[in-house]
Amino acid sequence: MELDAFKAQLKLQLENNRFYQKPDLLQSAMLMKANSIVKKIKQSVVTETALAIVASVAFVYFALAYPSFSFRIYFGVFSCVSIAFVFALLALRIKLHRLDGDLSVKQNLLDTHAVIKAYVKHYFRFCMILLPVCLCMAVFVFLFEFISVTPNQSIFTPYMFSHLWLPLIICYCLFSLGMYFFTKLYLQKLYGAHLHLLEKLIQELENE
Amino acid sequence: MEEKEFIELITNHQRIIYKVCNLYAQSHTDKEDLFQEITLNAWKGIRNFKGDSLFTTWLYRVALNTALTFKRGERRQRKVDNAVESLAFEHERQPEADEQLAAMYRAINELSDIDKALVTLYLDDYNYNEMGNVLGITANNVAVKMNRLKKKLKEESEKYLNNH
Repeated sequence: MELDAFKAQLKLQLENNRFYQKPDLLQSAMLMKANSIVKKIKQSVVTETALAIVASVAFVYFALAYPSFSFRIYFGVFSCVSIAFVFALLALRIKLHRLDGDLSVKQNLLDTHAVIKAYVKHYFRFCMILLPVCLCMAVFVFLFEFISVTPNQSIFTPYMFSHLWLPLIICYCLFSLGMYFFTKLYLQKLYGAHLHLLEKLIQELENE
Repeated sequence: MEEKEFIELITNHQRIIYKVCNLYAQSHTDKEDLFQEITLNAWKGIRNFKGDSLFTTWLYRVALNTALTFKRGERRQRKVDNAVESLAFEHERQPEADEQLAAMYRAINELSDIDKALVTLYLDDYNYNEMGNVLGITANNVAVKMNRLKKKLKEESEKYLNNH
């Protein structure tokens, strides 16, 4: 059967069938929570932005008001990280808002793909950046607060190397390696299949 | 736009949403979810509709954009369980008597998501330019794809008829 013949028959059939949907059911559908992956990312970004703003304010407050100098440095570094995170999230929100526009199918697929990829990249980078920052700051606070190293005291003696730095470096390398693969696997599981599907659809649209 | 006005508009054009749901979702529950998702996206996006194109063209864009990025098989929390049960998807309720039509339906259902979008628009009398506008590709590209599709659908539906 030719597609045009099918089209003609379909028209005849549709003329005899009336579609119906009660207005109150449509009204109920309008109150539903969105289920798409982009909507979920939007919700995550809103929550993360709110949390990052609260964390930034708290870190800045502690960086200025905490009595201990090493803790002030500690909170100061984390306030910089969380403020940078707020800006990264706001940039992502702008990209997400573009998806609300009246876009063609191809543009919508391209934008959706770009946004999900940006979200995954930003999430991965943030996790990886936090690893050395957390470790350095933990060591810093540990040295100056808990074993009370003075600025004149050398922390790079052979004894400190074998008893502190070497185990610390080994633990850090193992933990970082584990976190690297875990984060990659986690993001792949959450968004990998969807990104692959979007790439396939874009390629199909572009092919002649 | 007022809620009442929107509902009236969607009610008048809901066959577009039904068509897209029937093509892009396989199970009845997925169809219900997709129907709700499209209605919701249309409601949220209606303020962006400036009237540059026909409302039907805009609704097709929203419906296809939603269907193509729709996460299938994931159940949402329902607020209107009983109400949605009564959604009527026409070709489920009235199985095709005509074998040829059934064969064509089957062939269309087995197409890729992008090809399904092309066929849906073509069956709704859209010309290649309008189809290109909705999909974001050139009319030439649409023409090439449609020629290939017509041939493929004819072969596949005949193959299906010969096997049964």
